[in-house]
Amino acid sequence: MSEEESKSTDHQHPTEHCHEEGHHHHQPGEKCEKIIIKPQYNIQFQHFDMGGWDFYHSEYPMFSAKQLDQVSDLVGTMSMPEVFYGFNRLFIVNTAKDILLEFAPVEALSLASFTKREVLAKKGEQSIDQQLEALNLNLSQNELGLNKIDLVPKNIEVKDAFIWKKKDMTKVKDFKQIEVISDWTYSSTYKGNVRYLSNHETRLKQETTLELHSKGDGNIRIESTEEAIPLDKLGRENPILHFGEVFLYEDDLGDQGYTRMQIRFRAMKDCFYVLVRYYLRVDEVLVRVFDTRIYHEFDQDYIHREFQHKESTYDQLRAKDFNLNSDWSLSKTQSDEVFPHLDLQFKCLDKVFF
Amino acid sequence: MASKQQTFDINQWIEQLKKCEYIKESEVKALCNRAKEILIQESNVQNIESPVTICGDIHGQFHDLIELFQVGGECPDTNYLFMGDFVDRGNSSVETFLLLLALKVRYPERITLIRGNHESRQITQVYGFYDECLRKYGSVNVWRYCTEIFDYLALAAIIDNKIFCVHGGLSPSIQTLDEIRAIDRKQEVPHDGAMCDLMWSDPDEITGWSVSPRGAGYLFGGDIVDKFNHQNSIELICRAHQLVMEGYKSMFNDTLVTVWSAPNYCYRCGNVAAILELDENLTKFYKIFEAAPQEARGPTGRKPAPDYFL
Repeated sequence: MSEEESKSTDHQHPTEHCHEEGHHHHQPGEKCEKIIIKPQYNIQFQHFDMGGWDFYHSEYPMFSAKQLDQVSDLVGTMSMPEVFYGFNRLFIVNTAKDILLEFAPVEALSLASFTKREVLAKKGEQSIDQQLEALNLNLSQNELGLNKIDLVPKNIEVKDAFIWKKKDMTKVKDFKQIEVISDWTYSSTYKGNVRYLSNHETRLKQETTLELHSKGDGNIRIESTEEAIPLDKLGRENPILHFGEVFLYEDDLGDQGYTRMQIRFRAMKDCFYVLVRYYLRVDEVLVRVFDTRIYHEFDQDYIHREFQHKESTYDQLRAKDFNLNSDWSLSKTQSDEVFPHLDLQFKCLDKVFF
Repeated sequence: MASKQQTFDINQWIEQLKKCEYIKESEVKALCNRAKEILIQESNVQNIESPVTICGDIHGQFHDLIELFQVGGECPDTNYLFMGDFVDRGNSSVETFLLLLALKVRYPERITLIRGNHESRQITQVYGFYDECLRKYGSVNVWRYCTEIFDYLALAAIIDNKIFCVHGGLSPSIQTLDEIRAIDRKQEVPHDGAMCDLMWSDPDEITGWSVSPRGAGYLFGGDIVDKFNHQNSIELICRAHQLVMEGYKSMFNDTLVTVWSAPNYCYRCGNVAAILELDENLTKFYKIFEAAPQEARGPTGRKPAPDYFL
């Protein structure tokens, strides 16, 4: 067991390089393809290892406006959250089994793009190659199936939207409704991506300077299960040896609510546990949670994964006497406080064997 | 010392508030009554002469406001314009707003306060000011006095007839400054219409006007800014309302700028804050500052305590 820690990174951004990707040769009459500049950062990670697994995570302040511009094309949303933690990552790696669990802000936010969402949820129609290209999420063909998400979140509007719908916009000179290509709430069913480490060593080094080397050939497959994660093994009698909290993005939705994508993880002597949580509050409208819980006992050959969608309207929460005052709506732990009171909409469990 | 007979000791209140000590309910009432007399005289579009220092959102981050005065100079030495959102989200909205209001009463010609979308009864009930008043005074009276004052705050300001300042942005119902001057502002911020738009709308990289994908609130493009500036002989629109990591953000070939003055927003974002100093020739100088040390320790850079989350 070892723990190396980087120094506090407050207000210090990693050094940054850029490299161009994509085709930028064009001949007369040929359509010029867009050049995407992929930023590359020298990210400092905190590291911990336990039971054959390595945990790397980084915590930095939010992206600057310039950095936001650099990644917005990759993400594919019409706007970026005000607070985007572009340098934050969590990698959970088993080099012997060639398995990488990757959690990254661009991937997470990408699922707020309508096109990418649909590709992930769609069965058939597009060829695998077309799907991979539309996703642009560094997923190989054999990884796409491991990371499919069938759920497409419903669109929501703020509480005053009905007033605005009644307005006669023909009276507004130069009015043009913009085409909405992504979810303004940044709703994302992101579970993190399960990957073959060997497929991604080069990319991870390019993107973050982190060098990881797979020591074997992996064989990852997924089976759905009814079996619940044994939460009783995660109490205080099994002390936490390593803990981390990684924010990916947050936004105050123009003073109409709050949204946050956050990951918490912890390692104990015999297991690790991860909670990926997308949280949304739209004032006087609803509260939504997409949770992915990931559990692994070191002596097992699988990772246990549970995805949950919970959602209730303000009226439903009031009916349960949940106190919707500002002590709650400003609390940093508001999602934990409201979680038990939300109605379960969907749940699925699987086991990722390796 | 014998208790003071005088019930209106503005200098004493300013001293107290500067130490982040809130004043008595009866004193708040007296302060608000005096403030009302001053604010009622102001135009919807308050005229300001340069030099002036323009500030964006503060959001109850009291210690950062004190930091702002250190960076920008004390009032009345420096002439200030605050573009709204004094309250909500931060821990000390009461002290923040009352200090600004006390300074307004003491030096009415040296500080201008215009209304932000958070200076509203409805929003303060969701974002903290209401509950903070209740917690600190044990009743909602102080919240009532303050929200009544909100209705008297100017909607916008114009500096040397060249720089237009507003909390949110433009409105499709407004072509000229006179149209803003004609609004009856003494009311709660409405759900739509010109007054609502001035406090809620956002600039965006679009052409013309659009409704936000959220379903309410306008977005406006650079062409709209050009037209407005041309029609009103304005050089620059200065607004707040949106968080920017660098404290300020210029758009549309420097015809519009966002100024944000709450560093390390909500005590965790890690952003810097800015104030915009304009000299007597309207030359712009942005001063950048970080969070006051005691407030700077948000989760970033700090190791969170292990949490037995499930």
